[in-house]
Amino acid sequence: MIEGLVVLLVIFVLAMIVGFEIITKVPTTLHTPLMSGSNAISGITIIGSMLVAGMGATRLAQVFGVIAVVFAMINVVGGYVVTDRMLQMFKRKPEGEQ
Amino acid sequence: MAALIELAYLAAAILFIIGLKRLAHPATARRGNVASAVGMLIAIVATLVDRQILSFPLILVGGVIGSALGLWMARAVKMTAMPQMVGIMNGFGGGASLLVAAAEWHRLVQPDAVLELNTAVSIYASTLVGAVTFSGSMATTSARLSQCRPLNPNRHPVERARRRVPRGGVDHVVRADQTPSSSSPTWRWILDADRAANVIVMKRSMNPGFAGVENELFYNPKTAMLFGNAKDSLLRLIAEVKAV
Repeated sequence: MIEGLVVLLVIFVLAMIVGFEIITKVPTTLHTPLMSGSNAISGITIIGSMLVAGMGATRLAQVFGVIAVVFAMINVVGGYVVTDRMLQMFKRKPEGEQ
Repeated sequence: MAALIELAYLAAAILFIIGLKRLAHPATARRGNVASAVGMLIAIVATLVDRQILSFPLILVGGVIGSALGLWMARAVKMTAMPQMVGIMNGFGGGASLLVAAAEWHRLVQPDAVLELNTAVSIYASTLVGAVTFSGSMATTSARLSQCRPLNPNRHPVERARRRVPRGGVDHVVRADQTPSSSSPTWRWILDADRAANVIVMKRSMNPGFAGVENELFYNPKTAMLFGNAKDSLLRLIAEVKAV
């Protein structure tokens, strides 16, 4: 019974190390897009939302599931589009740059 | 099939890590975001073929509504308000986690039912993190919105004393075209730097900065530009003044 929990703990700790290694030494201009991109990834909760809505265990679970799908989809679609809008500004050097 | 779904999740996780890594470098940032989005699409498609899912209409309706709202919010938001918008979206993600945990709790916790330890811990953790994320984001957003009212330009002693005093300020707060009494798109406190007798802008370049808005102040005849890191320039200036 404890094994399942240990597996989750292993994934959790490894994910923390990966996350920490990736976000160190990032240029200041990219802090906001990186925050926004990480936020979009946190929308992975859409998976749980879809399963809960689709299983339809009880009426209440279905209602919670559908609202969860709406919320998570706002997070996913909005998160990626906002990040892309920010990053579009890195495309060209503005005139007058010294 | 279950193994394939797990492998698809693995692929999604790898794409998230590669995407984040690329997001951390200016040259590859945009492609990194796309890689991460592809990972998310793979995870969503893999979940749709999961046998546990019995009815699709609810998922479809929720997905379409959420996508439309997310797209609209992301497109409508002004560049200067983007960090706040990210905060709101993050709050929605937290709300989704909270609802998932609540639905699982409702499904699994029956009389005489024994909850597996990892399931119980997952539900408690999702509830805690989801609730904190959701309530925190929404509270911060409403607090910031309440600060968004137009300000009386004379409400602060520094504003009243401003007339002929040379003043310093960070780029964000010295936009000549966005005085506090106008319907300013930024929520920061803004100085009327253009009303000073002389303006010296210390900045590394003429780059309009992250918000992508040109600052009219830079083109004001009274304005001199001193290129370089503001802190270093100021320290050098102070040193030279002391030497005189």
